[in-house]
Amino acid sequence: MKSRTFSPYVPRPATLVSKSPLSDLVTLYEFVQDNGKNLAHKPGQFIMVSIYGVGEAPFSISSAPIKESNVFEIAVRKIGAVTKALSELPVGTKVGIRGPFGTSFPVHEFVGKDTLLVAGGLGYIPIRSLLHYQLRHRQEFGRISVLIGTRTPKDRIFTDQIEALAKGGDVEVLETVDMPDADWKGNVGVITTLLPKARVEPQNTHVAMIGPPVMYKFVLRQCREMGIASDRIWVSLERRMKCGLGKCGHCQINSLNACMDGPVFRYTDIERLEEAI
Amino acid sequence: MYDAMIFSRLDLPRVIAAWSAGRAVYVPTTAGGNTTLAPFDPERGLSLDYGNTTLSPKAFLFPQTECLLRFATCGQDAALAVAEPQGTQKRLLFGIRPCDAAAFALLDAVFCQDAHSTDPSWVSRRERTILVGLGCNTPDAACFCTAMGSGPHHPRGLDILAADLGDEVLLTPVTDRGRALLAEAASIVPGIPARGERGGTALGRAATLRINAEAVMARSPFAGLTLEAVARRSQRTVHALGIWPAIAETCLNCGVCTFACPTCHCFDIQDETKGASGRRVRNWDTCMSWLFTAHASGHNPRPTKVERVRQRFMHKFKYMPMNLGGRPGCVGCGRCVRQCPVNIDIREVLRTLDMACRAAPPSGAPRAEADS
Amino acid sequence: METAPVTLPSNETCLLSAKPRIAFFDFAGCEGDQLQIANLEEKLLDILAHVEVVSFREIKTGHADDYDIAFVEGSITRPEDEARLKDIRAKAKVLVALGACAAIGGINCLKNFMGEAFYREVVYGPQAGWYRTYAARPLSAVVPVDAEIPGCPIDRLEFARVVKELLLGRTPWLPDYPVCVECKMAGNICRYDLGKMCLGIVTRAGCGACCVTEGAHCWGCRGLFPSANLDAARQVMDNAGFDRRQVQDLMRFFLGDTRAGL
Repeated sequence: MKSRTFSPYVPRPATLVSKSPLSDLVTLYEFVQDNGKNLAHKPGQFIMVSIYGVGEAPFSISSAPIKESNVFEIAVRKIGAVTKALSELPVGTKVGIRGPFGTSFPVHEFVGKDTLLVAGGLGYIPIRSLLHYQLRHRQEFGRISVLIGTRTPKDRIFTDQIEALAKGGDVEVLETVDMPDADWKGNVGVITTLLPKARVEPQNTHVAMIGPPVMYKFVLRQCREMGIASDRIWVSLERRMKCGLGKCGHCQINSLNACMDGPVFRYTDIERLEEAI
Repeated sequence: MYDAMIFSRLDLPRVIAAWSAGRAVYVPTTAGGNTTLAPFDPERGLSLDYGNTTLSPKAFLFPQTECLLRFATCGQDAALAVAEPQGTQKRLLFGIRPCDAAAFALLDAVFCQDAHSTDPSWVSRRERTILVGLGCNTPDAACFCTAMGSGPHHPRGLDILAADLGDEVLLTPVTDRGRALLAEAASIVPGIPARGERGGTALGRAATLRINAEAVMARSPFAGLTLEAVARRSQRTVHALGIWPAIAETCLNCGVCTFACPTCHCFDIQDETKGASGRRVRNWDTCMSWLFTAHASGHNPRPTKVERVRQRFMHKFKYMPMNLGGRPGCVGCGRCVRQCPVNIDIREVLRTLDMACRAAPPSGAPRAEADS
Repeated sequence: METAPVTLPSNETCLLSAKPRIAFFDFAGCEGDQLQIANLEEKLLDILAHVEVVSFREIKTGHADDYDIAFVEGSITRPEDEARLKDIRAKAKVLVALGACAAIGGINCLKNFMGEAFYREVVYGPQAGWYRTYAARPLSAVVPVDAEIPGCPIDRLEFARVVKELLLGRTPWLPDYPVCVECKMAGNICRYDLGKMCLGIVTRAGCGACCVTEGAHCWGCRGLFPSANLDAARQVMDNAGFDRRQVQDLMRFFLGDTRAGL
């Protein structure tokens, strides 16, 4: 059966080549497109993953775009029908992929500047795409600081990579948890407790932040207080999505669509949108 | 090439029968107080005595349920999705009203935004559906198309505009396709080109009907509705107006407005399976539903009815004009006015919105307000 | 009050591994919902291919105490019923309220508007003191319920769909919009335009507006949909000229246990 017409609703096949647990509920999945092509995505973009019979859902791409490898990664928390089905897929299974969709972090604007990456909870997943891109092109960028907040130590993901990065000394890595356990020796408190500790030159810094809805307001206020210009702050906003093509209406944020005008937004473009933050 | 043509009213069913060659033709049909566009039945003939269809004709271009693709759930072909082939049936909708045609023109902008995301089903259906509209001689009390940039005899979106002159029908082609259609009809049924004195009389009668219809609407308590003030205010200002809770108070969140509306285009996508195969369908959806914006995590950016009601009106009167070069997202067909179970009148809302926008303080308000 | 859709307990949703064992129970009800299931005929055979029915008095003998999904019909109308329901709840991974009586209390709650002494005497006469009874209530008033199949009686195709979704480990979905939508789909003329009262404006859809389509009005047997606006509904009825007593009578018929009961 060959498709005779192109439809933007029809996914392309991709194969699950690897999966590994990152925490109790979060799993890392690696895919390769069956057509042998590189996904050629940009940091911050997302794909729609289909498990036929169950449904389709949007997932941020967690890997940086890499010309030399066609493997791309997503990291997913099990919470609904599609994510649950995904968690049960054996390696080697095929899924459907659409995309990449959406806007990306404007890395060309970050060139020569410092970047402050603020990742709350699962927000680290898409932030990682940007971070790894910057690490692969390290010379182009100034100082990089990564702030990571999670609810409890058990919720931390990519711990090995993050610890290696912290030890490396090149990138400033600050972590915090809301609720510590007996073994936690690091910072305790919400992510806003980390900002004062970061080495940031406000005049020279771009901020990229992704986290749960409640986080944005507070971190934005702090950035303003630190003197970081609003047009240098980038957020990624998550919304329920269905078509990914700006037609179905689900992801509308006031006059914008999160799937086409976002998910990455410059803060000044959305600061007056009441539905955004 | 033909100009407008005049046909005897008695010959109209023959014209439509002529158009039925190779096409499925739908005409307004009333049964039990309910008007729909139903297949033309030569036996039953054709009545031009109707207001508008109860539900909009958008289902002809944007079906309520539509298969997007099919797949197998197991075996070798699992994860190979095949696009559902587009239909090939040619259709002709006779008697749709100018407001509904204007809605199709509006939805073209939604479904065909750019080359990568053009909706193939919309394009296919649009291309094989000819629209012959009938101008309204007696607009309904709930109609307000003139305030929304359309009009009772407006040709936008139509291939042919028909005017019911009583004993005669004037058919005016709007597009090349309409001209070809007219030529088809004229080759089978005797028609008179609307030229010279004979034509002038008919054109004059049609113009009179149009002017009279527009005059009826101008006498409505809602004549003079305008989106001017809404357009001038920022969306933040409009969003923050204090009018929304009162407007939303009686709303049942039933979604009938979105269902009947010719410009509402939101949809849901679901997979259905039976045994080893399945299909992915899209169904009409409504922003009136709590589920519409609910995340899997349970978070909902529009958690209560006020947000959803505000969304509907702002989408039609603020966001769509912003994104579509000033065109309102409403065509004034009046269906929601007639069918809302709690009689929420969109014209009242628009008037309230207009007054509130005029009265709201200038947008250069102190920075502190903007920051909160 | 906005309510989130019903969610199943997260650990117990993977029921596909073996054929789930299902059982049917009833309390104070007419068994009409279970009869609807029996009326599925061939479709029932399709369902039976995927489940093992260990207890279903209406169609087979035998009973076992070991089941995964319990479908329970009927309201709770006696104190001792609570213990039996709690036992079923403890044994079942998934508990589904079957029909209006179980899901929303239903018609059985009509008696709640009268005094207990009064209805005891009306029903039992001189033997009023012999029987234990109390205000009728839905299952959810006694135990947590995982899903419901509404209606009086249930729509048997809806039952089949819910079972399918449960077997797939999904949260069964019920329409979260009112009957008005289905009435419009069916091309019905609004009852209020015909001078009749109708509870379709607050009642959960899913029945295809069958009663209105057949010429009657909606009685509300499927219960309120999640964001039902009762104040607006009462206003509609008031504007239509119905008096408080008429509104109250219709609202109490099936919706006695909900906030609709006046």
